[in-house]
Amino acid sequence: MEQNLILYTIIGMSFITLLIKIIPALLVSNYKIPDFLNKILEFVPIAVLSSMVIQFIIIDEGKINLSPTNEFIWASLPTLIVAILFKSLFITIVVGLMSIIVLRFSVF
Amino acid sequence: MKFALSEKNYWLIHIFNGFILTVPILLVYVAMGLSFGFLAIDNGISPLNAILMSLLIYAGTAQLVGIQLIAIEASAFSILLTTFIINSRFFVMSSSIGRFLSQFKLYQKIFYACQLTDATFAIHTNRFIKLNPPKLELFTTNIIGHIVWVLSTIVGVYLGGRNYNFDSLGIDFAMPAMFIGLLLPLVLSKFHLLICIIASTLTILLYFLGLSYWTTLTSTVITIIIGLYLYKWNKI
Repeated sequence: MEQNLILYTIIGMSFITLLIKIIPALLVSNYKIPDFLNKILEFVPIAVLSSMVIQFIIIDEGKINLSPTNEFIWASLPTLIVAILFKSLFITIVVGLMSIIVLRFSVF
Repeated sequence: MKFALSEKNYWLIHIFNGFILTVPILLVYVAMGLSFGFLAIDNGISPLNAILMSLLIYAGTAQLVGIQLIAIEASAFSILLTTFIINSRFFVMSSSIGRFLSQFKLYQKIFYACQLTDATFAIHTNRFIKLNPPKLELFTTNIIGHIVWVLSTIVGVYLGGRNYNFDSLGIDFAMPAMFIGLLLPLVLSKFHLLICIIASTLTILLYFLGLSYWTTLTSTVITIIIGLYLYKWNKI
């Protein structure tokens, strides 16, 4: 593709992304929203992050891999335990990286 | 001896706090930004366009999929539609974080929302439910995240074409590990845990049914509907 055309595409992608990010925040913050909607929005962070976490772990090259050959499933176990124990983002990431390195050099 | 700061120096503390909160996710941003830079050059994107993508779009997955679609000369319409689908999850994130922004001025809301990412969404939600974090702290995390994302893209672009592979260092697991670390502090009750289990199960099911990029939004919407019903049930 020609670079100018790519630039226009990028501007379009930027426009769409920004609208999706901005409009809901403006609507919710400007109007008084009903209680049940508030409750719904309270569940959103947990629901959306759970969904993303599980996709990162089980999807391997576009396909679901729930078999024991999926090293991410094994590495996520110690990571999860450390996350529960310490509730620290930094420690969780470090232990996560260590787990996958140990797995790759020992088992797989 | 106590270290005392006069009131007018509070802004320094807020910026410092914002910086400290961002440090853990920067590692992941650098890894992602570098690989995005490499791949963009590999896929025939000019260095300037690659850097502009990180500056203007600032959404990792959409950028990575975008360059692959550009490389196969997909139509502009299908690229924009894919961007919309991948980023549709921001509809729910932006609505959720919007609850806390009522005290912001209009330009602050817009500026804040422009730099909303998965990671800052999780960090800020965690801050907002505990206290009312100062705006300066929030904007510091956003701005540092965005700058580091663009800078690591620039480095990736200039190292590009040399085909580095960081996977043996476990960098590909940095994203899952980061999201596990972001999710867990938000799970405060058994009910929250139930939401996690419902969302995860639905995600596997929906992805299996072939929803691909729609999976996150769809599973979130269904989960919160189920969650709301369960919540009302428990109350009565």
